[in-house]
Amino acid sequence: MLNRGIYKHYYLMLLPGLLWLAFFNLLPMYGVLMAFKDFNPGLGIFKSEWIGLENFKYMFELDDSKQVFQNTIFIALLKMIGNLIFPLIFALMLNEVKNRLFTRSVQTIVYLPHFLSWVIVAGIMLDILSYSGPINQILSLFGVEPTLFFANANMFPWLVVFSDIWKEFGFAAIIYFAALTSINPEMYEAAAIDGASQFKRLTSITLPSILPVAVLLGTLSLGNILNAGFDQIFNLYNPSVYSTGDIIDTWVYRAGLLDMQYGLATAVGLLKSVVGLVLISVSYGLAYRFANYRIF
Amino acid sequence: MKKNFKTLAVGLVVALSLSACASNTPNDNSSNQSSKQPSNQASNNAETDVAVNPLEKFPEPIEVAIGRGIDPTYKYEGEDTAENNLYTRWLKDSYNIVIKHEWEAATADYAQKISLAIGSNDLPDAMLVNETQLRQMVKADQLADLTEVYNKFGAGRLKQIYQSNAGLLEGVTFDGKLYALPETTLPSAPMTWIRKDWLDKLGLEAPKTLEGLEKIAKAFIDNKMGGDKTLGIVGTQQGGSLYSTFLSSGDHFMNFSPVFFSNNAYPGIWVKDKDGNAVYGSTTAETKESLVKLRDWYASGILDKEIGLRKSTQEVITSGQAGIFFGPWWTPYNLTDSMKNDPNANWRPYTAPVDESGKFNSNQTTGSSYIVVKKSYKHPEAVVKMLNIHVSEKEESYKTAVGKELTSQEIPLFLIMGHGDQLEYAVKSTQKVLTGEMKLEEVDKLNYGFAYELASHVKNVKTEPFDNYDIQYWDQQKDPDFFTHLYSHLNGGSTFVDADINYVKSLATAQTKTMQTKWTNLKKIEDETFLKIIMGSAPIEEFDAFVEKWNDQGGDQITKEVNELK
Amino acid sequence: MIIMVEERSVLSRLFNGVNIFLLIIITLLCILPVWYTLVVSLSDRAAVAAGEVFVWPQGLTFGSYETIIDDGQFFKSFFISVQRVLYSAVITFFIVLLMAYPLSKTSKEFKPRNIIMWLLIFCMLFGGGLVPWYMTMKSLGLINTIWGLVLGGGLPVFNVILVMNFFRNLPKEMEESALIDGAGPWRILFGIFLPLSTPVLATILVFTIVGHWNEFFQALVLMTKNENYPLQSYIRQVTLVIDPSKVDAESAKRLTSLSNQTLNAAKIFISMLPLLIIYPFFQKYFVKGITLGSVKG
Repeated sequence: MLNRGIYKHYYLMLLPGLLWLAFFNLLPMYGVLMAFKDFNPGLGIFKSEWIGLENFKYMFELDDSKQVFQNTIFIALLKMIGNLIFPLIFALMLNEVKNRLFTRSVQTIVYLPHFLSWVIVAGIMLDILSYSGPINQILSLFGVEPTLFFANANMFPWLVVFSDIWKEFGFAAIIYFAALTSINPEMYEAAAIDGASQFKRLTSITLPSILPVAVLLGTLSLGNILNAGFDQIFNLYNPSVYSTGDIIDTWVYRAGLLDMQYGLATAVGLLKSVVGLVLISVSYGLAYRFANYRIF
Repeated sequence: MKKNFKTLAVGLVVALSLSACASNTPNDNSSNQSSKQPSNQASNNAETDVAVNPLEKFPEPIEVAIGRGIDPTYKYEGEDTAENNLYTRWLKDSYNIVIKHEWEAATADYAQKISLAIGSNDLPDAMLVNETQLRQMVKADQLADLTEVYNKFGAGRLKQIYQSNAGLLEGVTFDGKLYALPETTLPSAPMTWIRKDWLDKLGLEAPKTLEGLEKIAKAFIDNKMGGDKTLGIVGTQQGGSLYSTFLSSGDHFMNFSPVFFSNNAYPGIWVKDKDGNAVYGSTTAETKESLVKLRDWYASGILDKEIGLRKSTQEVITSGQAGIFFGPWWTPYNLTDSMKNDPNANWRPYTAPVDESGKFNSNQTTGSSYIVVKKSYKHPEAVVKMLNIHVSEKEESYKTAVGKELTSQEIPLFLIMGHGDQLEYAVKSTQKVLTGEMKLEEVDKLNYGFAYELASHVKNVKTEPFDNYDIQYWDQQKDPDFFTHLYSHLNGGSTFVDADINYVKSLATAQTKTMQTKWTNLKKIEDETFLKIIMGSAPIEEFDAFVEKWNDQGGDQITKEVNELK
Repeated sequence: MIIMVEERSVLSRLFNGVNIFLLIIITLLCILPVWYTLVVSLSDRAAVAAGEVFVWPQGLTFGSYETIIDDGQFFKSFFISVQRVLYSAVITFFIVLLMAYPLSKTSKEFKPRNIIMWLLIFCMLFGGGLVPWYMTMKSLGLINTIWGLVLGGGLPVFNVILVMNFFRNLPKEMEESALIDGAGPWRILFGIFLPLSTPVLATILVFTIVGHWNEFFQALVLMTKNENYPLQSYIRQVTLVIDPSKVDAESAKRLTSLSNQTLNAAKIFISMLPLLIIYPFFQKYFVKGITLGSVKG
């Protein structure tokens, strides 16, 4: 047991951070009251009329909100899966290459998109995928009719997902690289001596040792199921793809700020936070129970 | 924010509004006022305000802190800014009104800033808002009651302008209190702009009907007039609207309103059905037909494949890829790049397509911008005075008063104020001065300052024949400042004022109660469905589903409310 | 290096060949969009509009870059972004470092640890919404200040977790022996933990720099003048990625008058340049930091 006097030092260390938290996270949180009020800006949040769950009721009556929740989960789920699998495959592929210079250069380059903002990536994408943009020009060489990628509601979620994977797979692969390098090389040597093929070594050594990492990462990303990426979609969408591309965050932004339905928007946002908290608790529990790993 | 003209082009100077202000003739009060009402006799605005001179300099400097939408790309003189420029300094020196910017935001972010200001009750002294924002603020009791201040300090001229625009002040009077100073409107209608040099090269006639237009577009594409990637008809760009609506009635540049109008369809506004009941134009059979037409055009490549997605349609106009689009009379202000790129690009407007009976239709513009004043502001009279000044500087143009012709970017709380006939006067008098039918001195400088300016420059830029406005009969170099003005007024303006236009006015010009909560959603369904139908990603039957859904989700209730307005 | 006993079967060679080929394609995919932007920025405007530009500049010109050099606001915004990133990096560095240490203790060693941790998680997920946030910032006097941008986003909880996990994975023995030598927590943190934590601290620095450099939204709310915008907000404004839900006649019209693809491409390119230059130098650290901070090594 440690000396209790040490607590004072611990608190002192926590103080600056907790102050930051208090002023910039906790203080504005009184705003959640708006979800239960008929917010009148002239009266302010506290004096506005209390209407209980009216805003929530209205939210569930709106066709919009169901759609928006569905879109969010669909996009977020695909992103989660894609961002688990693609980096894994990529890491495995790169792991098979033994030329250090090659692997290092490839790694450096694939990290690059992670450092670009969505403002920029969206701008570039809209250009490249435009009707007369390079992608359509290449397709037309193969006799494919040019398509309007960003006007196609069926295609939009996939574009969102793939552009997200494009942006993040390299960076996400970092953890897999690390896990791969931590595999004991003696295992490979032994397998090679036993005459196991390259493929066999992959399935019987590499995959099993990396799988727990993948499962853990998957569990950890559960908390993001309602985060489909505001910055990305905000910069990419247009009315013709609202049906599949409008997500909670973009909807809340439009309803809450531009259309001044403050209470409704706060209610939707609050629901999202609650779901997020539940999911994080679940993933915390799962990770602890099955991997004996504490996320935080 | 829908200030129809506010930023229509950086070059479109206040002169235009000046001329707008300049006419102080009360207009005919009938609801269907057309731009061609003959002016009644000019009445001198010597209205007697008891003991208050509405244009008097304040004894002490009075500060007005405003929220302001700005154009970040606008080039000011020297070190000037939106907050500190020729005009604001002049306001201070001559009237002791000190303009301060509580905040400023680019146009695209202006709505967000306003919502934030309203939501946090952290308002500037005065700002320009739209209908929805106005109502929200009235509901939240955030606004100053301007009734008394307006009556006491409003200049006679200002009052005349409002009196002549029937219903304008009533629209912003709630429970007998005047809560805003609304904008008046200038007439506008979308015409078809075509590269006449291409028409001539192919030996084609000017279009009359939709079918004619279709043939021309097809000929342009087939003959590769704009190179391998020639586009047929271009329009709506990313984020833009397919047609003007009752909330953006002046939105006539680069969308597809005329295609609807020529089918007697008026999407986006409230019209009367055959029984005289209000119906939302977007839900009518005529609109459906028009969508079918657009859909066919899209499928056959006559319509630009990238409608609604292009970041800038202007770009394909400039690069000479496209030869047809729709736009109002002032369109040439936005064609300068195109002409720079190709000095022979001969853009001409046509009052086409017409409907079956040969009528050229348009929706009627209605104002949608309002000056509001914060409830706790101590000097609402300063705001009224600013508007007095804005409408009253008629004896001299801003150029002589301030030293430069000004735009909405220099003038804070800029509203378009005036009657409908100044464009016609400017066009007609300039034409007459050009041909010698009228002497320059005969132009009514007092009431139509800008018409006078135009007339005095016209000989520098227009070459013979005077009645032919093709680009080769202009001198683009000699007086470049006024070339764009005159080219717009004579090429675009003359066609517009000479046209016989059948205006249809929306029954509702502002949001009703139910719209405040439901409109966003309804508009969203509408935009989404229509775009999908045109692009062929949804079947045309989707239209009927849309109408049903629209009615279900609040449209019925809203239509009822609009019916009560009539 | 491990010496592998490599059997040289045809299949294996084929596999390696295809593998390398695919990897090269993937790598090119990552770099092409950036390349395309550079190419557009160096091309002639009309060529770009006509869709002729693809992998090589058409009508090579530096006009766009010359325009930017004359654009005072671009550099003003650039400087604001640099300032913001520097302040944020320093503040985040120290606050997160200090916070992570006590939180890396078990709940036996430091009882309130779990409560505080959940409080952080709670704050990470819940927010009061934009309007209350704005009102808070206003009442704290942070409108139009660089500090609003630096602090306004709230405590970077994710970074705290990262560093805390890293600390937890450091060998216990060192700390114990230091304790026996009579070292207090401050000395343990700064004397032992800090020097060992270069990777994770470099990682949170990278996260902070990237996050603050790329953030564009807060400034739109907090700044009352365009001249106070950081670079990304400025770029967003001039390239006019407009909010599709609220576009009206006016913004559409504005859009037409100023769209200039090549100039925008140049601005975009310059704006991403600093990060592109920085990150390879940090690479070795953030790779280690992420690995150790999030997963047990």
